[in-house]
Amino acid sequence: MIAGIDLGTTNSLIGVMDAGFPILIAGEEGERLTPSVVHLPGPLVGRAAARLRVVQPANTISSIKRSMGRDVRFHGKNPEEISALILGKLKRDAERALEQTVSRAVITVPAYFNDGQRQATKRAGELAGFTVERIVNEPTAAALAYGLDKLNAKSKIAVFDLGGGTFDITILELNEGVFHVLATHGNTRLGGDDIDNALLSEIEIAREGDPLFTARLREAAIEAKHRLSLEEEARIELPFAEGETSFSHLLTRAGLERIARPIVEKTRGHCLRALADARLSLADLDQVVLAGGATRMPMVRRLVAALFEREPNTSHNPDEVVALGATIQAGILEGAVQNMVLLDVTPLSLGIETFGGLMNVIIPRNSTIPLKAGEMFTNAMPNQRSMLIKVLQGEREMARDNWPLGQFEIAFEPGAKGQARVGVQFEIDANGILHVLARDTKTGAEKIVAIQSAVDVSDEAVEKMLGDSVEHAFEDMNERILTESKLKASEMLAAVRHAFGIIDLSAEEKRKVEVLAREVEAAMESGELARLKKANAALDEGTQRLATLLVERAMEKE
Amino acid sequence: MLGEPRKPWLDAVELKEKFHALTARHHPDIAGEAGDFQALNAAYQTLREPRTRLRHLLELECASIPGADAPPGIAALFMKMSALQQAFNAFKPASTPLAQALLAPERWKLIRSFKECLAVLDAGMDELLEELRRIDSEWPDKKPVDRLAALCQGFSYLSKWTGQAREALLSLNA
Repeated sequence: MIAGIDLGTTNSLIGVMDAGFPILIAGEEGERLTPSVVHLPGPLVGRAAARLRVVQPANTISSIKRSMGRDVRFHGKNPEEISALILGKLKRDAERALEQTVSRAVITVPAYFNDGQRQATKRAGELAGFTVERIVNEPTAAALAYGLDKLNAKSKIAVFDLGGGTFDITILELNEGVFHVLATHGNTRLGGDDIDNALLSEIEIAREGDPLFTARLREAAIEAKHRLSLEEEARIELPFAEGETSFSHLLTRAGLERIARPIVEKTRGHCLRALADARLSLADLDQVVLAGGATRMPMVRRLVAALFEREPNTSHNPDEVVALGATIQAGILEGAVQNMVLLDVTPLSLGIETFGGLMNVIIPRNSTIPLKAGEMFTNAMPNQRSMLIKVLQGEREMARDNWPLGQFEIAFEPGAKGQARVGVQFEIDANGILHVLARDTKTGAEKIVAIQSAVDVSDEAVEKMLGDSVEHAFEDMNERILTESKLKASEMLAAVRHAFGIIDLSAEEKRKVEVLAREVEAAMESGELARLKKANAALDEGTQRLATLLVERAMEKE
Repeated sequence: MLGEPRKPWLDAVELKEKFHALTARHHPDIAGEAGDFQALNAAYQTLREPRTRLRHLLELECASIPGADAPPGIAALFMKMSALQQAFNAFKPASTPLAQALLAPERWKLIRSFKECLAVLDAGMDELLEELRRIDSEWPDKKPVDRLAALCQGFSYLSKWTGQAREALLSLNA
């Protein structure tokens, strides 16, 4: 028996095939969704850990998926080990419910995960005691679930998958049970978490030295965000937040949407790129389906409807559809599901660094996998003994702007320039994971090349997120927001001076803008974050008419 | 692998249908060997793109691929594309609405130029495809390998620039 697992940023699920249909398994507490939260030391996993999040935030880890493939540690454990604890809990829950050992699994990852993130996920599964039969992309899994009942049809669908931490857009063609992915695009650091962070920094600048308050506030803000998908307003209340007094903040749906808009809007470009890569126009698509909890937000649904010029299909539960799809893929692999096959793609171009620090693409993005591509290397100098090959993933022209996967050395037989030849096969397997084979052209012997993993310079933000003290993280976060706010203020002040030279405002209007601009200057001087944010927002608001006039004037000149 | 004849033009839809039918039978998740499917996949990827299909055809037809002169107009287009790309790289978008409003004329100008460029590239692509069909209609009686090599190079350039122009337009419209 093979289990299907959705290892999510916020929640995780496990399912198995039962009489030809995928079913999801509830944990001890009777819920199918297991929060992807781990409390250390302990360890406690799931709902039990989530309950401790507000009491001991520094010892409770959420959203570990955002750190997959990175060299960071929390209580001495790396992201794989922490993910393995979550997978282990799912495994035990399934074994308890099914009364048998469950040792094989299909695990989902965001389609835009790179090689390192996929390998880390696979290792996490192995650490949890699974044989990982397949790593499958989340939006593709969702498509399997949506397409299960219309296998004879031919259609083209887009899957819009906005989860807690990641965004993917995938375009597929369904043809007689063949699920052929045409293109995928995304961002592995864009999701509901970003909306929560923006919301939190908007409601209340984090209080230094009060991580407990911040943790409680985050929990309450997330709950309010969820309520606002159904209601027009929600009150965030923390009774006795500061001894005697309680904290209370009224959040409206419009207010939340104003905060979330810049984040949600980022999905637009990815969707257009995916369509272009699939060589389809909007009219070619038969339907758009949704996956991921953040697609419950009315504003996300509106954006999808406007962008794809049709109402999205919401017939499946967006929290469960990926796990159902993973279970169907498990069914395909064990032979329980017939007449279905999945052809996925590699999301990122694979290449090597060449002269001048350029990236030479060997396997372009959106190539169907599994796939092999060969490249011949030869000695550039007489008697050159070896050559160092750096393998990269990404879309940028310069090698340094792409993600380094690692490097390996090939050995040459001594000989004149251009005499020694070694063929290298780059293979991307069905999991989207790279394998490299070198073949000596003389002997024809092939051998697997071990890629030395690149040292991953850990992302500042991640370090902070996983830092032992949440308190510290917030000090630094405030620091970063202050820097950003100062940059924004300088840009606006320069723009105001420039715009005054072009547009003649009435003296009254001009005076109003000047007052706002002076307050921004003073706030910058003071270095008080709250004051600067407020002043920036006021100047932004106060120069709206000026911006409109500028655009109108430019349009007249066109 | 796909049982296609060795010729310059292949129907994209028919090719895809064949690929899907063979996949449903030979995919390793169902029955086949991983190596066989990889070969089938590689064959399909090669044949579906005019550029890679032509290169493959040339490799089969000639001992060495003839060097080709850049098709007419390519050099001029190259100058135009690189000038535009430079202007695009120099354009720094703003973060606030007021600063964005100030930059609007410059942004619109870039968008217009890239759109014009894209139209020229599309027309160029259509021309190449038309010539390819013409060659195909006389194939295999006449095998103008020099022209095929030139077309292959043309497809390479045009598809690369189309991708660049499209990407630039997407980020300018964001």
